[in-house]
Amino acid sequence: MVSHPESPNHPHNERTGLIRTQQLTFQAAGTEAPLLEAVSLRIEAGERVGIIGPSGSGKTTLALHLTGLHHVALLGHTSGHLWLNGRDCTRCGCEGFAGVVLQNPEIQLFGETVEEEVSLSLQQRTGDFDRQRELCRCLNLFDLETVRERRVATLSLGWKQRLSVASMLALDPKVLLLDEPTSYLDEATADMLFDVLAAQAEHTGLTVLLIEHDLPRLVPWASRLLAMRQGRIAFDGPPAAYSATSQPFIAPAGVIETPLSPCGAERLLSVEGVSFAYNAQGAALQNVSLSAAPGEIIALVGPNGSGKSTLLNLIKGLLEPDEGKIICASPSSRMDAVGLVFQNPDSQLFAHSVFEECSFLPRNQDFAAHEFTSRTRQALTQVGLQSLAERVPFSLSYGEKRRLTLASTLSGRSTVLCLDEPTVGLDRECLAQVAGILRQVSAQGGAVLLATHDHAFVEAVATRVVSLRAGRIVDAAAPQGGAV
Amino acid sequence: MTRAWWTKLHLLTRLALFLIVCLHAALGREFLPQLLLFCGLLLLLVACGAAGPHARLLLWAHLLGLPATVLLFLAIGYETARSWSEALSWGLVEALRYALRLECLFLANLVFIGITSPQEILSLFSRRWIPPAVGTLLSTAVRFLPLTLTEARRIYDIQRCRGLRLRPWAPRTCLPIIVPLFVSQMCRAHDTSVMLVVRRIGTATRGTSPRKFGIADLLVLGMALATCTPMLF
Repeated sequence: MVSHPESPNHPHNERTGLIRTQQLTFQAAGTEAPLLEAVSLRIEAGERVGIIGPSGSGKTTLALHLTGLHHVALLGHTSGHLWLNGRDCTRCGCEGFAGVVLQNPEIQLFGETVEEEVSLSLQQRTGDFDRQRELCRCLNLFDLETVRERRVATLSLGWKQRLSVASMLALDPKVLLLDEPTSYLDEATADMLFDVLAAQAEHTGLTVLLIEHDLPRLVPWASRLLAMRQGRIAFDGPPAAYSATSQPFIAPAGVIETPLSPCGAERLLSVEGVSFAYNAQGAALQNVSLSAAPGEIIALVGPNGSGKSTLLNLIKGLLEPDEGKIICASPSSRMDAVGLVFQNPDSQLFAHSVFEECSFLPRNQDFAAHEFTSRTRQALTQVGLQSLAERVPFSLSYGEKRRLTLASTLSGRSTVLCLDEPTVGLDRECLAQVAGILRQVSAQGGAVLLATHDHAFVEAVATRVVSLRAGRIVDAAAPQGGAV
Repeated sequence: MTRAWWTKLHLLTRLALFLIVCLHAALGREFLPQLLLFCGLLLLLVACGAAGPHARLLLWAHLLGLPATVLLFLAIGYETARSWSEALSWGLVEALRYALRLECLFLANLVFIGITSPQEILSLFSRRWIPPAVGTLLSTAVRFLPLTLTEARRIYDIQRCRGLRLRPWAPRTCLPIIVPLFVSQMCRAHDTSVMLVVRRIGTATRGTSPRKFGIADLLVLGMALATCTPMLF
């Protein structure tokens, strides 16, 4: 019996397109609503596909299906049809079809040195090729030749991410999936990554699937954009068409009047000539001076390894400066006066309810029972989580978890709020919420310091931008270029 | 960058050294050789850079662990002698001896992991009669120890920012570290397993090319055997 040409079982349709799905649906084990619902699409070789959408909209679930990794990475039931390279892979994988680069490069590297890491991929690669030549090519793609002999453990996160992409390309996959690969990268490295991926797609026919929240970077790069919403494809087409219909990013901070310069104003925080080194090999910070006045939102920007996070850890008191001093105007200790919000919420959540989680800090700061309750409720209201106070923190969405970690810091007695990469992994709605919270804190007389690579977010919320390079402050200005 | 000589030793040499050190630590009776071994391992640990991220955690583990060991031996000494002075003189020495043994085992483990990549360990298991999955599982499991220590320290710093005060006599105070550590390690295990599949590690038909035995290997092995054998017998 010959099937209808439009039928998914028709041989012609099966072999058309590198990736093809028809009514693809995925339901995770133990849940009622499907994470993917009736997704039908076709992707050809050499396409550069950007996948966007809010947190929890199904981007990663879809991408794992499109790379044939759903059977190892997801627990649940897949229905509909999925063909990869002309093969029905709805309920199985497709070995050697795709490479994957995750957000965190730490878990993707298995070799001891840079050279060994790439060689490891080449050993797994099939077919005839000149191993030495391929090794050099992969290393040169990301300027890794200079660190060829270095131990992987000694590389910065940015270099590790370059290495993980190079190792994946060494496998010679047909499809490369990258899940927010620029989270740990500075501007220059992120640009280089996008350029290399575009060149690979053009010259080798590599299909690139890129999950990314950074639209200004993604739109000019992608040849096609898939926008996900609640498990369905809300938009599928050229990026220009999406840009024309999309919403603006975050409303600028113009409504809040904040002093651009702390000169003359009371200072909440003063960093004076601070230097710090992790080891004898080199200083992480050299002679850094900075002050923060009430109402200021200061953005610390700079490449990976420039000392942004180190400066925040010093201000918080997790590290002690080798030289210089850090003074807080608050009468309480620096550990209490400075709040520090880390990037990954899963590294701190432990309590059985959102309320308990949020009240951990005020409890430890020895507030009276009625006071820590009121402070906790106030902080939860400030971040819009008051209705979820009894929920188990682990059941929250990623954006909600990030807001909870923010609330659990706001509930203390800190007057200076520090945030390390507050925008990573957040969609537009969450970003707008976080921006609103930061403006509230500043309007209430607090000072905010944020270390970030996200220039759009900086322009939207910051009153002052401090650029760091190799442990030194190289520039300090208003976001639009005004002098401090 | 030049690599330290001990990373250039053949994997079997390193493994044999590791086993000799472990045997010595477990069976050796003399105090001075144990102390020398401890100092040597400590130096090696610092030199190979494996101690850096864990130094403070190790210090805390020792500060909490050593008094507990001493107390245990004091109690055993009192049980035997029914006199606190005898218990003290016997217990302190025995406690120190056992603490040194444990330290040596622990340090030897850290040094071995610090200078050996999973890829190298995997190469040991690339024999026909050993399933590749078993080799991969073992090498990844070995790698998890230092990663877990680093993660534990990071989580401890995060919770310290939230006012955490650890009290060894109140295990509940450790929950803010244990729960996120468990969650993060589960996530890490999941992601690592996916990456192992993607990289096709453990399914390769081509083996690696391990380093050949050299003069340095023979010298080091000979010296280790020569110094350790008399101590054991």
